[in-house]
Amino acid sequence: LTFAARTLAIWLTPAAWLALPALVLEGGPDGLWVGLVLLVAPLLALALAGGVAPPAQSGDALFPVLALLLVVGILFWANLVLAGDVAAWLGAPRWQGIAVAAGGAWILLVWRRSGRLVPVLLLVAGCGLIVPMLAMARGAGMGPLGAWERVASLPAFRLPASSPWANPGRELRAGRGPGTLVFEEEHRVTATGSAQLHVRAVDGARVTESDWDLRPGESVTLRPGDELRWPPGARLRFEVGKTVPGAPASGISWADGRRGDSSRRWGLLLTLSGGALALLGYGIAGGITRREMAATGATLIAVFAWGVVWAVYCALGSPDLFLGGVAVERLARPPTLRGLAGVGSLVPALLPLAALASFLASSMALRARIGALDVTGGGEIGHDLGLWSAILGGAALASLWPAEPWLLIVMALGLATSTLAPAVLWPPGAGRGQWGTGAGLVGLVIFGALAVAGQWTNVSESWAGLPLAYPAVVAAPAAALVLGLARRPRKG
Amino acid sequence: LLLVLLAGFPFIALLPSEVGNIRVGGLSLLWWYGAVAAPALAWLVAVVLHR
Repeated sequence: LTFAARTLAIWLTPAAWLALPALVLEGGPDGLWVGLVLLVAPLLALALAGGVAPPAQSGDALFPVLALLLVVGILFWANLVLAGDVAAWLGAPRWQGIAVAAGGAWILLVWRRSGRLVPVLLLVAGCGLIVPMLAMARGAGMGPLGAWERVASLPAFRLPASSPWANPGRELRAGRGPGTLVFEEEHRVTATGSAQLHVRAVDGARVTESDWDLRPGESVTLRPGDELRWPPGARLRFEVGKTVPGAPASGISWADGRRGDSSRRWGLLLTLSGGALALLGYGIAGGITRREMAATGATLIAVFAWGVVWAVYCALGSPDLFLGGVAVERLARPPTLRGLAGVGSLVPALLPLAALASFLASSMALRARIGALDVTGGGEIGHDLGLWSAILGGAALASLWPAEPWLLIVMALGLATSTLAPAVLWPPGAGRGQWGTGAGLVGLVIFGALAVAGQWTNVSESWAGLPLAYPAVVAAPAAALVLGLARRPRKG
Repeated sequence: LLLVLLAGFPFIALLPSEVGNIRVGGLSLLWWYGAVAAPALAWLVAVVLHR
């Protein structure tokens, strides 16, 4: 169980496990595929890895430690961004959520024996996931299968009266997606604070762009096909019973999903599988037992099942979560949960608390993971107060600016795939450790170049755009090629 | 085998006549596979074939 807890804490940080229901909610089967990869990738990594000891010479051991430090820093960043987003969603300033999460992780860093808390914290997190789900199931009055069937037969996702965007209106942050609201039917949008809205109206071949400076209480009526852009922080109210802008056209289209986009599927598969290999397999000496594998698989399935079921209940009870694209933090406390009879104020707070407990467990497990590579220092690097304070502080500072947590998770795993995963599959032979470092550096440089290029260019949806969307698909094979050269027999 | 299990999901999604969208016992075939069958089989494969 300890092994399973440690693996779960390393692999599934809150930004990953909360992204699972968000992706299922957003894309139906597309999100389900991501969840399936999140579940299978660590099993694959644990099956393939094991028996490869960390490099013994200090020079060769340095690069993997630095690469994993970078990966863990990005993982911390993603989770602290999520902490800030959840705090803002709950009505507190972003910095407070970041400070609580980062401060908690720092306190556990100071307490050297805190590693024993990982299973306990994950148990707390597990309870924090299950209880709200049971409350949603009780509120819906049906099991997960019935809820899925109901969602999949909805003619449209309509704004419920319980939505905070219907009454009294609230700040709207763009979720994943285009960042515009496209209206399917006539809809009156009212500003509950001063707001400058930009409307793009399409009338046949004629396109009209207009800006509206609204004072509190003033409205603008949008027609089918109109697009609305709003500035960050705008507080808006929408009409009850109207289709939710940004939601799938119907429950059927949500359940059936989109067609195509298969290049992205394979890019994500390679990125997540390689990331799992690097995070869970690199430098782990000795194999794992069948019992450890069984326990790890069972806990992964439990989290996967929770994510899928949570997404279905959210789609059924809180279709307003689709408004403006699904934002991960909204899944931490769907509006319906607060309005359920007999739920009280504790249950809606459980999921954010679960995320906090899970992040604290992950922070300890990830530090211990890097400590395991510190062959010369006896794992001391996992407790280096100055180093980890700097990493936590840097991640906390970076997370003050909004970013997409899931994209950061994918970036971290892509980096791990490009630098370390090839060496797990094709370890350089004895005395050739420098080839491992060289391969990792090649992967790092290519990954960095493609990731930067992807930020500055318009990435196409075709296979040609895959290396910019998932740089690991090029960087990891290039690193593997270097390792392949290292495995050639020496002449003479 | 685990990769084959994963590949089964896009394979079912791309089957002609939208076979994956056929509802059986409340869920579509694609969801049965992705949410129930594939995870359970992945666990079995990982545990049974683990050396």
